[in-house]
Amino acid sequence: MDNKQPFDLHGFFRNYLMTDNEALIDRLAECSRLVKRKKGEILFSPGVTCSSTIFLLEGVIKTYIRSPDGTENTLAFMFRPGTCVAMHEDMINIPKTWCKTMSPCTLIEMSPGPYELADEFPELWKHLVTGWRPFYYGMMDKLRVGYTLTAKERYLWFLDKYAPIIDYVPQAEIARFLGIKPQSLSRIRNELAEEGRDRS
Amino acid sequence: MKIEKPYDISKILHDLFISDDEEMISAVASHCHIVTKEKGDTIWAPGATEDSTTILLDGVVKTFILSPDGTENTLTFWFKPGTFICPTKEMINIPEIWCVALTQCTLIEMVGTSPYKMAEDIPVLWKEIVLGTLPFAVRIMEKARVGYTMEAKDRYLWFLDTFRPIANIIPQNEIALYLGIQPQSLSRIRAGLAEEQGVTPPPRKIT
Repeated sequence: MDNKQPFDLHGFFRNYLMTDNEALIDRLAECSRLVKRKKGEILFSPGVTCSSTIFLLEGVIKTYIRSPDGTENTLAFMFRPGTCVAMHEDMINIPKTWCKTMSPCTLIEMSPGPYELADEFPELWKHLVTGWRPFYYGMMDKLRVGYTLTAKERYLWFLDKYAPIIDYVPQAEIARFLGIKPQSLSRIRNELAEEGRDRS
Repeated sequence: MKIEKPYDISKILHDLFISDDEEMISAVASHCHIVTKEKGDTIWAPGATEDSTTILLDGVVKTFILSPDGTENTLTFWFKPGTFICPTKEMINIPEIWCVALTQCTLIEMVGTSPYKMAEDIPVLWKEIVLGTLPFAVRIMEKARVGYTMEAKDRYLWFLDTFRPIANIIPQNEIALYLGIQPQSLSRIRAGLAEEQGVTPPPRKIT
């Protein structure tokens, strides 16, 4: 990204939504700002009074639920440039969902977000439906993996799906995400290394 | 949502949807019919070639993912009259989710199309889809929170609170599996609560 040129929010939304509704693009740009976050910054947490919408341009973020002992139980890792995380306040407050950066990140943060703007611009409801799908599929596919795959298969699934961010996720966190004991994960990784399959 | 008999599809859609767009409601109603499913009937399953759209009027259904050993890992139970369940075929097939009737059920079923397809011509449906699918996402995430943050007894109390009208319909082993509790531990918890009195009320008949 060229840091000397101001970021073109209008161009971003025009391409992202593939719309020629300039009033909508103006409104979205008005509600958004380009932000750089350091590793470990909280993007949203329980207690919000409105939705939270983020477009990830660069970096790695995760959504998680905190155990009473402080353990961060990851729901999903997100890293693809252009990923939209549009969380309705019920999705944050009822399950008590958090979101933080796992690396330095460049983001577009929007407030108010599409849920609040959709009554003014109803075409946003369609974009919310399509925007939700990666989050839904990610969450549901992780459940499927947990219920149907062996520990080794779950790790291979993780390597395949999250290959670009392996170096950003500590091994203990990968183990917890996959429901594998850390010592079992070490054993699996050694086996795969012998087979020449562990890409991390 | 209170749904009275005899079932009037248009009236039910009027009460269910936020929008009072008559044209939309009439268009949706024209593709709906009322069906009865028996206990154990499949409502949708992996391999679906079409989106599935149902509105539960009476009875209990569950959605689950099947383990290789045949275990049905429940994602959630639905029982409130007016529950709107509308997965696309991708939402069924990618995570391989099933939906079955746990009791005899009466449902509105949409045939030959789905809200997603109709929304391309009737955009007001997109809002109904978002608001209709939000509770499912929240319920899945809330169950994850319960699993991560609560002891077994508190998980069971959450279950009783969330699923009180159907708690006596769900087999105990299934509740234990759903909550990630060993069956014998659940028996112990239930015995303890019964001693404390008033925590497990008498069964309530679903009407």
